Amino acid sequence: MNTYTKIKYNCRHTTYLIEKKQYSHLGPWELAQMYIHLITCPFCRLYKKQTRFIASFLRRMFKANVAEKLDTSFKQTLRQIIEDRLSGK
Amino acid sequence: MTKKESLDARAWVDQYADYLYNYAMKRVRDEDLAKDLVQETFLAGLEKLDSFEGRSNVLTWLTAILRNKIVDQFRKRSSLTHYIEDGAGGGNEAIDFFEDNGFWKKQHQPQPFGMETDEQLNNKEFDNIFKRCLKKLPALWMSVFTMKHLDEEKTEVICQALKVTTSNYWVIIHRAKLNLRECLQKHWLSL
Repeated sequence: MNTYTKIKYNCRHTTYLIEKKQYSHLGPWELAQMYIHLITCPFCRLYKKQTRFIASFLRRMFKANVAEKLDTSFKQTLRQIIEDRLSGK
Repeated sequence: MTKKESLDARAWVDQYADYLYNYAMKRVRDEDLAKDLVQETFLAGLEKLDSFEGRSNVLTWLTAILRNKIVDQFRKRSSLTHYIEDGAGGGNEAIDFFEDNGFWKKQHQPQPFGMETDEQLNNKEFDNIFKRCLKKLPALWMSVFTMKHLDEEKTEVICQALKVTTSNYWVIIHRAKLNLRECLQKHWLSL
């Protein structure tokens, strides 16, 4: 297999590079491989779009304002523990 | 311990417990574990009260203690799952999505979700599927995602905290995303 064919079929490596590029820098050769592959591969082009969407969804989900409250009985337990420690029990 | 500090500590639960619990829940997603972590944080805070000396805000200080405990927790999970080395994660992370030459296997090729737009960000059904798919991911992968997307930690910080090498880190991210995407495709398109 020549280099071009290798790049053309290597979706495994391309998806890896796509992930890496989202959070880091790719070297010139890595970038070239990725873009050459993307030109010929509609699946990886779609993957790239979807993985970015997933990342923004993740970020949104993590940042969503769900206010979790501790239940009263556990708070009471905590107060007791702190009180015991402070009074040296 | 001065009298004032001990008095203040008695107000910790009322002032900070909900905030700390919320902080822990967002990261560990487990009620019992989050409660334990809050309790441990208060206890560690009491022990270090003498050395605290009001150098920073109490909440900032307690949050930093909690944060270290959460990272310890993440690290514990990662030492429990040596999934990459021996491939024995037990879950679907062992799926190989590609043929030997690296091309997508037919059944794993990406299909359009019809939802690559922002309006779908508010789709309730998709949200549910997304959460279910996340639950299937190994704990270590979730730890990486949490540190990355919630705390926006730098790669080196995450690798150091979780004791993974940089190259394993990218393998984890890659596998996690492949699995998550596949799960979404499978469940969303079969609706």
